Amino acid sequence: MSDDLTTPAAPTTPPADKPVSQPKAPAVKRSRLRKWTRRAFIGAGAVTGGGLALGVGGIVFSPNRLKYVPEGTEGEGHLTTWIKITPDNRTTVLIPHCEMGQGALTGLGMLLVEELDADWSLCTVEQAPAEDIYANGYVIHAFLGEVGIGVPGFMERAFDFGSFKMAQFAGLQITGGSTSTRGTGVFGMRLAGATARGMLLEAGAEQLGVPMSELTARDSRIIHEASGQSATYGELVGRASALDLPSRPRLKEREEYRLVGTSQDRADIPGKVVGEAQYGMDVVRPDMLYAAIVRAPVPGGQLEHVDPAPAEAMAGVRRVVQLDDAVAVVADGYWQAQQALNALGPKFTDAGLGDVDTAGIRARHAAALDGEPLGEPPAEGRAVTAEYCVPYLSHATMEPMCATARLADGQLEVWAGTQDPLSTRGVAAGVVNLDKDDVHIYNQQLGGGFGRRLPGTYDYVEQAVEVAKVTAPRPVKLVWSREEDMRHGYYRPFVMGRFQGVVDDQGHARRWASRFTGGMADALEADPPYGIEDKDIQAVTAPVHLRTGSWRSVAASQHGFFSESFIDEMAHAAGSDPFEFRRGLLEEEPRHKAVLERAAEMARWGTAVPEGRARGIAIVESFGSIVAHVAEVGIENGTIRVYRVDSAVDCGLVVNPQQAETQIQGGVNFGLSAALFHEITVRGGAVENRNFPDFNMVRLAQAPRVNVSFVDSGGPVGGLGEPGVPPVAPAVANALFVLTGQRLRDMPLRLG
Amino acid sequence: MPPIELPVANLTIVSCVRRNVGVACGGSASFHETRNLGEAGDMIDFTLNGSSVSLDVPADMPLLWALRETAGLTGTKFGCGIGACGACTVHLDGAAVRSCSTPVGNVAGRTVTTIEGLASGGALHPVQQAWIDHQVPQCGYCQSGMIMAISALLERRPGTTDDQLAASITNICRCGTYERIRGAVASLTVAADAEEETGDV
Ligand code: FES
Ligand code: FES
Repeated sequence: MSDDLTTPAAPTTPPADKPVSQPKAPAVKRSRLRKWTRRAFIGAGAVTGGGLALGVGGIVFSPNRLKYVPEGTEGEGHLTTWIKITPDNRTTVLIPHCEMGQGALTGLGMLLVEELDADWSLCTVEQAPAEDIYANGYVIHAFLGEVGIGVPGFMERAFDFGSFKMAQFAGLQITGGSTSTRGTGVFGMRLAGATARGMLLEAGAEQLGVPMSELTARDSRIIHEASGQSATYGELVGRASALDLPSRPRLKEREEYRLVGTSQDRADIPGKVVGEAQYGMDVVRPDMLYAAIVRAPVPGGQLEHVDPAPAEAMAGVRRVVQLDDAVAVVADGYWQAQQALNALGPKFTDAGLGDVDTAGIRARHAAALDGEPLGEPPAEGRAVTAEYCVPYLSHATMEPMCATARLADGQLEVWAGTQDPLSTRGVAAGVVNLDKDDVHIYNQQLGGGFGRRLPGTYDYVEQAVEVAKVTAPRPVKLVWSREEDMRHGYYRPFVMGRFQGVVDDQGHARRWASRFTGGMADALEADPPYGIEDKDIQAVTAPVHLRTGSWRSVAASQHGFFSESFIDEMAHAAGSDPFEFRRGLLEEEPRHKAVLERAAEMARWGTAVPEGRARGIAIVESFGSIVAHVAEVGIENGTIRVYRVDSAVDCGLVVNPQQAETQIQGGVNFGLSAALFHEITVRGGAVENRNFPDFNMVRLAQAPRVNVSFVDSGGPVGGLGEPGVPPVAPAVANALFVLTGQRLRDMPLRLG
Repeated sequence: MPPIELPVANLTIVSCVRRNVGVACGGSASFHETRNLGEAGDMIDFTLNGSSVSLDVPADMPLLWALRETAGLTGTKFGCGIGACGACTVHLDGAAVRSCSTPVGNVAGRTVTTIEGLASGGALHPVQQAWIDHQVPQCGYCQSGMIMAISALLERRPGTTDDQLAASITNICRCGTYERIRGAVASLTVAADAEEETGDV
């Protein structure tokens, strides 16, 4: 077999030195971008009916803007604009981000409306059409240059590829914390809101005949306290739309916030309780056909042979489609298609990888680490060494992968749920060799993403387009079975780590050394926040067999488990309480320390636990937020049971507290499913897991009570969708050590 | 109302869901277009969200796909296809069943309610309302099934405790909304308890 297990299909990472203005953008827009002025990226003007439209975007008011306006709304001018205020005093905010259930739309809308000082009950928040997202990355770039805000480190890479990172963060995180909130929100939405408020204040001054300095804006009104006069935004928009833009709108200080920081209902929820929300899976087009598909089970495998006859003989079947590495059956319904597919016996090659299995993968990772030994520990003190390992994990979104495509009259239309419609368009265009302008993406709600619907992972879209070539001009909806979804993920990588720690006679940590398989890009996550002088952390390249991608919380999920378990081992070696030991090492990190203390206090660390239970603690920083969990764990009938998790969170600013809370709670259950159950295993080169029974999930019976508390540090805005995940597994493993004396160093956690 | 014939291959049939959230569709689905394209096979007759329907589908087709693709009711979701996740839960004669594992032939002559038909008389079902009040859904994909499973349970056992809930409801929510689900259910059982005490049931 081949020595190189790397599959060619892994998501690509664009080169870091790529310029911001991507050559992929159509020429006309590129020239706009080069000539950017403030006026070009913040534009304002009147709309039909006398309202104000304020736009923030690279292509606002560009000559071809109308091209991006949805049919029938040309005169409203709201396409690339983010705020529209109409004379009836209603405000509409358009958000160029996907909603995946993290409340990003509501959170971003709140940030804008806060600065606008509009009445939230008069505001509607909508998702911008797919084309709008196009401008995302550029927008942020412009803001930074314009208002002189420094580029935060985590966003630097975002500039390399337009909206990629933006969509990734938007997707994986949430309201109040995601990059959608951290990027678009902090630097974009707020500025847009403040700009509009400035214009309304100026219009108010003109209309009421008083100096602007005497006016205040509140609840969609401009108020002159001294005289008791006021005017609604609706009454002022006509005048405001004729004004020049304020040169430097004032952003509010946090102390001035009235809306941000209050719990608000999410606009997408009512549709989700009546079955009305439309996901990619629910798309119905006139004349649509359905397709089921099976791909070569071994990565890189090709279709060798298939006899289509058994399928073609079945009722409702239209066509058997042979792709390079897959077979699809097109039928009048998905069930017929899947039944017919099951009747086929396609032969696939195994790309020379047919003898790869989980044990072999593990051995290869171990061998890679053998090549980078940890070195001898210093003679003094007590050395602790350990080897940790985590398996491949599937995202297993609740909605299996699915896409609908129609190729007709030189135009390609795609309906799918993706975390970034922009790059989806490029992918789809590539399959049919069309200009991107002839490709239209209609983004649908996502039945979960967690990183599976990010750029580089749009194989389901590519397949749907391939099949649509055959069914053209009829549209076709390609639905993956759960089994197909489980076998063809972009998995959280298999990672192994070796650790060496030294504690001295006084119980102080003196050394922290680690070698882990992966890349140095993960070094940040692999470096714990503890103040240990002698740190030696190195990544070691190891073969990758399956396709890998970003899995909710990315590298922090494995490194959080490693580091927070190993520091626990060091604490026990030092004879210290694991909480006190950590706290002692966080003197230089006051935010971490405060979060750790809050979690301990919530869980009443140090007090007695019910018979047969124990507590474990862990703290991990990821995506700009610091989260500490204390898990209370027991064993029932030989099974690990987590009763409660007390969770302290410092995410800087909490935009929508009720959403922030539920994201952390969701993250705990997500992390617990991985801790207790998840393991993608490989045999004969292929993924063995098929469906939920062998990739089990936490359900109500296993879901712990989760208490969440936010620590207000005033720090920069951090994420919320992901940071709840990493500390779960180590907190549980640390509790199990106290309970059983067993140190579980492999995930999922299995009692010996 | 006469039985309505629904074809297999044609899809623009049922419009039950109304645009206005808060007023979900009531007891009767309005089928605004019917065409029968295929050969008339054996028709499966049953009551769907209060209306008689007659579907031209193979009897062994799972109810899930008959609902989603033939009747056009996409609120019922596909998650696993093997009865393991509960995303496809509907009511069959008032009891929760997993429609991916229920052949449509088995529902002949019986009553099926989907998420689109759960609300009645222009008012949301109390479970739907509680889901909004407690802001339960995240991505929402599991929630149709979750709501159907829990509404059937509460119908049977209005005073369901946390432990009974955990023992009875095995639906998967990948987003992990369980804490909110527990809170929402508790608010309903407390309300039910209070009604029992005042003899108001
Ligand atoms: S789709 Fe029916 S139980 Fe999962
Ligand atoms: S809300 Fe997403 S799976 Fe339950």
